[in-house]
Amino acid sequence: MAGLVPPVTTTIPADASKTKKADEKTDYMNLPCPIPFEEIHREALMSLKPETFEGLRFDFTKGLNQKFSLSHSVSMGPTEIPSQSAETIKIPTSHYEFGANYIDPNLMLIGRVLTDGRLNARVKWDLTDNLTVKANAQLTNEPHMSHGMFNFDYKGKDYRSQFQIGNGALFGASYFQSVTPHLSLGGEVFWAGQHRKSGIGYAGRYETDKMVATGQVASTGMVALSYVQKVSEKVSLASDFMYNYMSKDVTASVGYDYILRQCRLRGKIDSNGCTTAFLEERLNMGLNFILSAEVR
Amino acid sequence: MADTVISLDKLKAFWNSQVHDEENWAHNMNGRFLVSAFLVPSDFHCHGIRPPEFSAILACSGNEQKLLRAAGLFAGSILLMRNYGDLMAI
Repeated sequence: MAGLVPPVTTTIPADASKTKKADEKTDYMNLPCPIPFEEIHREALMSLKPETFEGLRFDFTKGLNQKFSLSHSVSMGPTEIPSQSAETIKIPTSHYEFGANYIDPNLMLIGRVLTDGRLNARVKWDLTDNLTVKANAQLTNEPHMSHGMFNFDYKGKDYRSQFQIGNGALFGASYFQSVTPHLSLGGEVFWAGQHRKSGIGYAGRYETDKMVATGQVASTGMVALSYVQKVSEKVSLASDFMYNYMSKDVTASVGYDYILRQCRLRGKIDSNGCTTAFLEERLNMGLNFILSAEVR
Repeated sequence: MADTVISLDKLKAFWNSQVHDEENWAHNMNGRFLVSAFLVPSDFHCHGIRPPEFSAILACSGNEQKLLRAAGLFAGSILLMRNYGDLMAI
């Protein structure tokens, strides 16, 4: 004869969820580490700022071994030059760029040399799991046009800090702290000794699984807001707003980013009436086809 | 049917008064056409009278209009993305 099994007292699921919610609310000692301060707008920049170009561009990368590779890049087309008037001035240019890349889990070295004598170099060295040293330099033949900068990045448990030293007595520091599991706040200061200028800025970033919203204000007059909606793993919609209250210059743009299996399509339209589209398609292993268009 | 014809004639008269009249066309091409065409009745331009509630919009300088346009584009795009963004999924 089978007997009745006495009812087993179990905890009510509502109590467990309340306890879990209480733990999530008060667990400020285990906040996630935020992204670096300089990358708070990265989702919006990736979607809204593709590397558009005019004319012809050909890039070829040859890997010599697992860590070292060489690259050749040829580009021909009109280049926009700064002018005093509102009219856009473009001159046809062409150049060849030779590059060498060394990529290691802890060390990254990238160098580029152009036919006009410019040299670009980037170094990223992970000294420890938390400390990274970065350096970048741009050397030119023209006097007083060469630049160099060192960055020291420290990643804490729930914060990121960075210290910068550049030529021309340029010093900068930034700090970004996770305040809640979704919200991070931070600020930066810089001092340019050569120009006797200093500045301070504040930024905030709110991130969930579905969206990322960032805001940044600086004493240089810049106000930058961005919003990215992650519609799915393949689709993102982004919008950004850039305003300089010193020069009264303002630009807003809205765009989309479709990351598909064989191609990536990005497009945007901005408040100045400029429409941009950028298509990258992988035709074959190691062969990419790029189409870029900009209508003003 | 007769009412429709009359409304169409009014629209044509309004269009001609705004486009083919040199003074009104010059006034509209200062960037205020969209505001005035949809918000201000036609006779206000013919008589040079503007309602006070629209003078603030019409009196905006170029920079302020750019700021309003950019802010409207940013805010409107966020509203659309949050409410209808799922329609863009594939």
